[in-house]
Amino acid sequence: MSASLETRAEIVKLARLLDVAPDRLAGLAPAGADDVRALREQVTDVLYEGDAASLHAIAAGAKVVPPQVSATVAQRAIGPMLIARLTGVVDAGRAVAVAERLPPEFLAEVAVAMDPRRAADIIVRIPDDKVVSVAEVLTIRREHVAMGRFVGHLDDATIRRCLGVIDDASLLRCGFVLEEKHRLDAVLDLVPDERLEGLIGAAHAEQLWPEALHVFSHVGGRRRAQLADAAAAQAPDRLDGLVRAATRERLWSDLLPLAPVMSEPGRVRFAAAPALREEATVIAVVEAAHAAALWDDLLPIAVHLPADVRAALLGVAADVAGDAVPPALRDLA
Amino acid sequence: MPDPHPHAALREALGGVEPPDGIRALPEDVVADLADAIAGARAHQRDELRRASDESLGHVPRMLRGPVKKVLGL
Repeated sequence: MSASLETRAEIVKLARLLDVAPDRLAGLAPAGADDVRALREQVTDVLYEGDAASLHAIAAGAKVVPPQVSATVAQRAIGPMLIARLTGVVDAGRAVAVAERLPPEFLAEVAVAMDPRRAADIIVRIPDDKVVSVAEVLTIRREHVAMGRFVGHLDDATIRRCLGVIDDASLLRCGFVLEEKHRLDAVLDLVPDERLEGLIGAAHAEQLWPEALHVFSHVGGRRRAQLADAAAAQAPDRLDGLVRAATRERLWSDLLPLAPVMSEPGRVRFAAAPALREEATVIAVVEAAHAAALWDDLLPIAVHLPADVRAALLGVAADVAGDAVPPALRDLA
Repeated sequence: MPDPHPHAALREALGGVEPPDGIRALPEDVVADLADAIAGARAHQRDELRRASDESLGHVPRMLRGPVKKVLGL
């Protein structure tokens, strides 16, 4: 994933926490994703712990009234932002009893404002039906950052049900900002096979190739091969869209690693994409292969390129990388 | 009188914690606006807590207000 895209995702998360427009924090980009994330941890700490006494007082008051009263007070007086903070201090059983009585629209606002890591015990106990209805509201409201933060706290059965209310484009956007990247592989395994074509289609229709390639780069095994072949099986205009997006967004370091897992017919189709003839694309491919040491990933495509395109590519490779071009690739000349 | 230097303002907004190196290295105007955004979020939260405390009891049934006030030390 390009560093700039990852940093942008972290800025969005911080903006949500501070309840400001992401554009206001655009100046943080030079700090990089890791430092923006670390800053978000610090801001989370000061927001949760800075008013701990007041939050504990509210939580204590809620303990002595029935859950339905707490739910009424939550909606009419406390509001979703403070409820989000309270999830870090209240008893899990009490919190779930109140959450069951809150409408999904309200809980969706709470979800946007809360830190799921501080309410893991609560999240796992929320009934599936409620989680799915909240996921539906978050999808409609395009709150992908919030959704991506909760995945690590939900079991597979719940995620599978939530996938039923999340459209393909939203799934790609959520995967892009997923807090626990190691879960992407497992989540994509839960996506029905028949939806893979839709993911590719959404990537093309909504210009989500950066998000799609980021998601695909975290997938392994059978699913990775399926996605790679699904991408290669696209109509020429869609394939060209993928190739040009990879060039424009500097994503060849994410796209080339899919080549080795494509089927042979997939590689043949991919290599035939007209956009691969474009000079800017040839240069971008070679530069990515050289910078990220992806020559072995390029080879399965290079062998199927039209002779003139292959010659152009090898020429650029020689200029850019000289002796670093492996013999297996040089011998294609 | 509060220190107007942006880095000091940011540290104060973070509760006395030093921000990450990459954040500290940003231009002063960016740091200043960030400090302002964080301070604003904290102030908003405090205002909301005060408002919630004032308004919550009004939504609790009268017969339960006594126990709630007792727990809250009111």
